[in-house]
Amino acid sequence: MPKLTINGQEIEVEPGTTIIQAAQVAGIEIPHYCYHPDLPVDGNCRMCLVEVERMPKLAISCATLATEGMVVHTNNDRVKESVRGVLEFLLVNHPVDCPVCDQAGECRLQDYYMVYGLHTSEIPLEMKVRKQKVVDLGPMVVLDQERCVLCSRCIRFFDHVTHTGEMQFFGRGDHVAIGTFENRPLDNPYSGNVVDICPVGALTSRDFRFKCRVWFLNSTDSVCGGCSTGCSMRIDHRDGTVFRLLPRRNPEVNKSWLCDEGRMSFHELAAGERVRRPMIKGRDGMQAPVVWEEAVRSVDSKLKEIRDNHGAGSILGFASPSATNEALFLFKQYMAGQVGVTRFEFRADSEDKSVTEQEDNILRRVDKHPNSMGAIKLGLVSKEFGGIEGAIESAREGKLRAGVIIYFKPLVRRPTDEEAESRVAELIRAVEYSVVLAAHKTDWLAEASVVLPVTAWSEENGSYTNYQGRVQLARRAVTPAGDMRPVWQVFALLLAVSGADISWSTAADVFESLTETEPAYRGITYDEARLPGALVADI
Amino acid sequence: MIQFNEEAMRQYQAILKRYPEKRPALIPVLILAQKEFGWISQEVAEYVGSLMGYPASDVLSVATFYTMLRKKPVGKYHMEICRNVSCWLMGTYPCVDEIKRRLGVEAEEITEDGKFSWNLTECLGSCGTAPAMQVGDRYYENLTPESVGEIIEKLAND
Repeated sequence: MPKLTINGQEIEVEPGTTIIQAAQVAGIEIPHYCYHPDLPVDGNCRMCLVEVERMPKLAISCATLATEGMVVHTNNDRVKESVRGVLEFLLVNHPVDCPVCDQAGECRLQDYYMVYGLHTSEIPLEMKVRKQKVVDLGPMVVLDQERCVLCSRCIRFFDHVTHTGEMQFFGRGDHVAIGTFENRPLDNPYSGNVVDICPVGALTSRDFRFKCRVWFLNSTDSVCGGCSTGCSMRIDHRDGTVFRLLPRRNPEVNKSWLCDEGRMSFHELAAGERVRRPMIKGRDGMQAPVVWEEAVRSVDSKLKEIRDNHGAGSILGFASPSATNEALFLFKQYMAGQVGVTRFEFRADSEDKSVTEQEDNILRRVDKHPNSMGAIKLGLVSKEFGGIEGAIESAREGKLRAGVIIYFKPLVRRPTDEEAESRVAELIRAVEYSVVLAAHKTDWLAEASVVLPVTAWSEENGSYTNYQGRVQLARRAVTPAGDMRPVWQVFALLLAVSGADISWSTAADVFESLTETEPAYRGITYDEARLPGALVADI
Repeated sequence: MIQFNEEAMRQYQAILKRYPEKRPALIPVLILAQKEFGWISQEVAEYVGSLMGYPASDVLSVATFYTMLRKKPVGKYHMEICRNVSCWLMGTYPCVDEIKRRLGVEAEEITEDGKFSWNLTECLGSCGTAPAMQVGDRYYENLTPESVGEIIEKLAND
């Protein structure tokens, strides 16, 4: 393994590591525009110049391999002067429209200008080469050719990641501009990524632009709830409103990418009315609000009454593949441990079959739930009863009398959703007593015996198990208005009312219990589940 | 919908055979397309892309890089007059003035009859016989305003 010295710091790196990567390992940032860890090296921006002793000229660190005994300087005067020169050329035709540019605050031109530039432009504004501004490139992206530094990250993304080749350089010399053929819209399901990888304000997000200045946003680490791939992402939010979702780099899952549907999934969560208070159906058949205490006591006693009269086999535990591992674990603890239920199900669709099935060969998976694998690993499926349709049938036959149902609508919609949802509605109609934990209001919710309002993805701490069996943590970003609780807390309350001898005060406590109790999750620590996530045992 | 005719298609196949891979054939194919259709319109770029299996953006990117692949229609006789040092010293601009006077159009414009257009170009590699001009595949050398006038008259009667 080559050992090299960067700015006097000696480090050892894997063979094949470039200087820029080695510097990153050593905690030294080398300025760059075109280099991106998940794209092929292009070496066109020349910002990452470094001095390598015994080399005649400065070298671009993104395309120079670290070798044994190499001595590199990244911040001496020779390097700084060169980088300043490169930056000045990159800015020659830049329109300097920062006050109206949505990239302001997270723009590499601004950042590096403050460190390396601070020069006065030699070119008066009226002599700068003008190009197209505000070009509509479809539902995700808006292009401003003047702000572009021609790093070709977007071009390489479409060439090497999606293999669709929509974007290209056009023209030559200082008239070169990026664009699509005839300014055609980008119609591929990953186009939003070019906004993230654009280091400047050339490509901005159609959805996010001008909604909020980026320095007002708070960021929370999360995991996408859009499908079973479970891409690592970051939720940017302010005052309880989610503004955008950005990928977090996770080489084991999503590299630096997100699909457009996942990126926009927070709109689906915000759409539709929320269930805000616990409700119990009275004798008149109308639901009336109650306090949590009362709701939980009533559910616990009613479930046990049904069990005592008709046996535990008459109760179904219907989990949601969108609930967290913590929620599913306490659900199981209560339903199996306290009520004695043995009949579990979580599939309103064919989630167990589609959990690993790819929708395309990049990220998307057919199963639009983030935690189907968690439900499978926790054993919340009893194949012998014939799924939800079998449950509806046995309810109609009078064998199944009660159901505790967790239902979250998928955040990425598919035409089959309606059918899946109507099966859940059917199940609620078919049983005598139904307890539904739901986040969003639906027509059929009015037919449930008890409705318990719960928080959804992005509103609670918890972990999800993706298609690989990788457990990843998602943090609470926002708190919705209303008397909702995380699903795990609802079952923690039920367990307390039922007389269980342990209690949990945080999702982290539940996670600890989960990893002590469930064989598949045994030994996984909270820290391991952060990035890139920990794999569950294969049982 | 434009398309190569039979003869052009035969030439296209012959160009493909010249290279071990398809990619290097792109420029000769664009030159062929320019001969066939006069200039590389977006439609032509898209056609060449579909023919060779490249995105239209890719083809247009190559076409816009090379100035001799034209992105605008030109006249039947497109006169390209060298403006680099040797030709300039030897009198490009008096010739250009004569062209403008006779044709009555500015650079990149086409005469009303569609016969002529002109433009300045970079070095034609004919410094020894400056000033020089290229019309189609033909060079005209040692130009004077008089000889330029004669050339235009000759081409006009062609």
